[in-house]
Amino acid sequence: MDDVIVVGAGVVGCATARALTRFNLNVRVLEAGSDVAEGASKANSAIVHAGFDAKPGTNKAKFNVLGNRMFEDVCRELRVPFRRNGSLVLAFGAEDEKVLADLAGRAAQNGVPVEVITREALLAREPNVSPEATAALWAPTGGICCPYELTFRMAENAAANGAVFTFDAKVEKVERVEKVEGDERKWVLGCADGRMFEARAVVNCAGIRSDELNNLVSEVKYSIQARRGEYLMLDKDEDGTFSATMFQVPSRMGKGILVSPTVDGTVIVGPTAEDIPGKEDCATTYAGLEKVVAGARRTYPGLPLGKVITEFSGLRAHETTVGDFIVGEAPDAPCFFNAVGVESPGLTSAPALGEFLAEGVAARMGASRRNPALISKDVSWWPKTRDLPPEELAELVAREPAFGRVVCRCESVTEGEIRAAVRARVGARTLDGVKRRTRSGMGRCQGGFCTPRVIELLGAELGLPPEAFLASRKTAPKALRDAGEGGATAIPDGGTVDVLVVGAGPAGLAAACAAKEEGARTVLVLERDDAPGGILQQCIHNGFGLHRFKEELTGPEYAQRDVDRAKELGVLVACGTMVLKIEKGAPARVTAMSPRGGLRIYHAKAVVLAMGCRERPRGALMTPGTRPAGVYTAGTVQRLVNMDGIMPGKRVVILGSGDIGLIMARRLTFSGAKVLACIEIMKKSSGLMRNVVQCLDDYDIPLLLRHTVTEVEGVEHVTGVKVSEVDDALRPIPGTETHYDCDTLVLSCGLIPENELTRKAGVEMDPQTRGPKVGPDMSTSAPGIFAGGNVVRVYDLVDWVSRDSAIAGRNAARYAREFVTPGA
Amino acid sequence: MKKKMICINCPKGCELEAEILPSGEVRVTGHTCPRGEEYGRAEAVNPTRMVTGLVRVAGMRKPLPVKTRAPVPKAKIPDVLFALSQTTVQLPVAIGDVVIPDVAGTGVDIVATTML
Repeated sequence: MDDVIVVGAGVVGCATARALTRFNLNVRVLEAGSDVAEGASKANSAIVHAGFDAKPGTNKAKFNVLGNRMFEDVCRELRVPFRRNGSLVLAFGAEDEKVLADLAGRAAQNGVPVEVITREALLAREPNVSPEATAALWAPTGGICCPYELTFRMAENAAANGAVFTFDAKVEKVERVEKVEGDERKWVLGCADGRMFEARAVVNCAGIRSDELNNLVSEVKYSIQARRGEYLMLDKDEDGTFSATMFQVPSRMGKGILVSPTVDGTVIVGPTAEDIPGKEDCATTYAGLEKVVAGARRTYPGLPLGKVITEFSGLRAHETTVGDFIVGEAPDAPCFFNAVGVESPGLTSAPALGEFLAEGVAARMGASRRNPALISKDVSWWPKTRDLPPEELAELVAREPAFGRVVCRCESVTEGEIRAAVRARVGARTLDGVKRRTRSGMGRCQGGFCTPRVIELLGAELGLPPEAFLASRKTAPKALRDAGEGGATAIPDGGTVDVLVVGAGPAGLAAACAAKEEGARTVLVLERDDAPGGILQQCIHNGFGLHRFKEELTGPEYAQRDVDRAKELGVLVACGTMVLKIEKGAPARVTAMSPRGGLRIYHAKAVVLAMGCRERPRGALMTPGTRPAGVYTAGTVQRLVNMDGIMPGKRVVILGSGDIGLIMARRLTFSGAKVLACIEIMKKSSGLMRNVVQCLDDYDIPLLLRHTVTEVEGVEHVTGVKVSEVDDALRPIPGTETHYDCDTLVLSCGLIPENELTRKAGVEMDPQTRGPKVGPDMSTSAPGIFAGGNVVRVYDLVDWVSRDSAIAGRNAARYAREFVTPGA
Repeated sequence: MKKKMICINCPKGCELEAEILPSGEVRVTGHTCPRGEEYGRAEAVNPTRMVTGLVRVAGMRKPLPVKTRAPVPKAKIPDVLFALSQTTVQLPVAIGDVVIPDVAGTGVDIVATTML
């Protein structure tokens, strides 16, 4: 269970999470999208408002002014660009000038410095402004910033201080549990995909859906109307057209159409304000964009449409019953805090809202402040090559050549920057994620040139084929969503977990789920592959799960059930993470490496070994002959054919009749190859009879018992094999030799538990099984280290792997529960 | 007529014998569970198999694993495989999505077995 769950990873959620990490609290952020800043935080005017137009006495006025004052410090700490360029509100005639006077009055009440300036003074400041403007209100404290970069760096700093980000987690259920064992009171949050999370306090920063979340727990109901705003973005050629942010007098619907420079050198124009049905529709419309152009031309008559590089729209979360920010603990839901109806000036207010909410939560929970000296300032910063002076750039490229390879030419973004954006703690997992972190694809070609390179880098960094990132711009590929984002970074370097499981195959997942069910608080699974499921991912044939699920499943289907279950239970799965070393002790020390998390040490009260097994290679069989290409183990062929779409050959001989070899005989036949024979040295197949029947007999593939391959032929590639009968001592009988013309030899000659880590950890081994010696509780000779699945002994059925491995997980959880920190 | 066979339902691999009686009824012996008896009866009259396979995915090298939702007649397997080879799916695909309805006139759907 977490201390606090923040729902929503927009700018307010991330500011709140960051502020919460200043207290002694465990913080988790649940986000429905695949990234931070996926809602209003990514599509708004990017303005830090001075605070002259909010109605005095409202939360909007209060947090606007407070937030505005914090911006220099916050942006300096987070290393994000911020510029106090000042704001101008234009009046076009006497009516408007009256409004300017009202605004000046409000400004005085809100404590915001402003000055009404004449047409001449305005034109002197802004030569490109419309000569129709008659006067203006000048607010020097207005500013501009990049809203998604701000959000992202807030998230990075929160994560650096232990906050866990869980994406693709849309909260749909919230329930209060008042009476559980002990005197615990908690909130239980259920996600759309079935995952459940628990926390002592909840902060609702759900933006456009914050009303729905509140209404699940409180009798004080709110209602949010989505108010869409459409924008145009102008090319960098337009940089310098205006120095200040150019507003017009506001209307009932909002602050009107503005024209403003951005910190990135483009010019932003918009927004419209249109109440729409539903909460999803972020489309732009012909009518809306016409309105933007017409409105903007009042300010900037020379607006060149040829300089438009993109259009977008965002949804404001307009609360209709109160019409103000609703901030603080819900009156009838203890420890449930709201940030409802945060529309403009939400970006400006975010730092102040975050601190206010965090202080409220901490006070309610009696949490103390952390020692400031121990708070990390890290924001996963990387150099932006476009901003570097030449000498620093030269030095950087000499040190790291990837920063010398430009991927996005329009915005001058290098490979080094994109890789860093993916490797960050809350790293990019989508095209949009890369775009917003690096500006790659945000320039005048809008990704035309860089998209193919960016997906390649995403694929290389995250271990997926590049095309996986083309299915959606904003939703992370399935494999990454399964990998339980946050797993790799959830536990900080040097952190302690209850149960650490090595391997996310069926054994590891079963152990992890059982440990969680047994009450282990933190269960972390480290997996070297890029997705969980282990070898089942490539076992696309059916026949799994008959005992456990009472139905016949294919490998991926069986694996998916465990992956879903693990997700539901809150098991942390970190893929792409290789365990390098396990050192027994109390707690055990596990060293692991991943591209995202780097080299890390985890402390584990209990460890479950679930590394599975590997195939015996040709070298171990001592098959004579040349060493050409075209000799594979059955598992390798299975990977090539089923996962990578590669057929290794057309005429195949299979040596050994293990189950994978038999299965591959059928698969290769299905895929158009001719399987000439399956050769087995023993008197009977080592695979299951059912597989002999349905994989060989069904397709008339001969099974030659008491035969073996006596020579592999071919220089570059296999051209054939010689096969002989063997005697009772398994020696080839002279004169029985036959020759097969083939281009592929597939080996299926047994599996060996993979125990390098086990041995190095000093765990006692069993020479018979070639796995660790285990007791009935699956404990090894090392206290606190358990083992399950094929790492212990080779099973022929995954159902039994899951069963026995769950025993290991349960007992690991029990061990962790009774674990006493030495010296404590 | 008696037919000997090995049951493929589970790893036990029971040796079955199925006899088609003059009445048309099939008598199965050697089985150790109801699934085995059912298998023996079907295998004597109309052998069927689950078919698992791969279909192309538009724009990707990685294929999509699929299966027949239910067993299909053994004789139809080549037609099923041919249908798979002629199919390309578009992403996204979820587990259980129908990839080919009524494959090769068997009345059985081809469904995806993984999510892509």
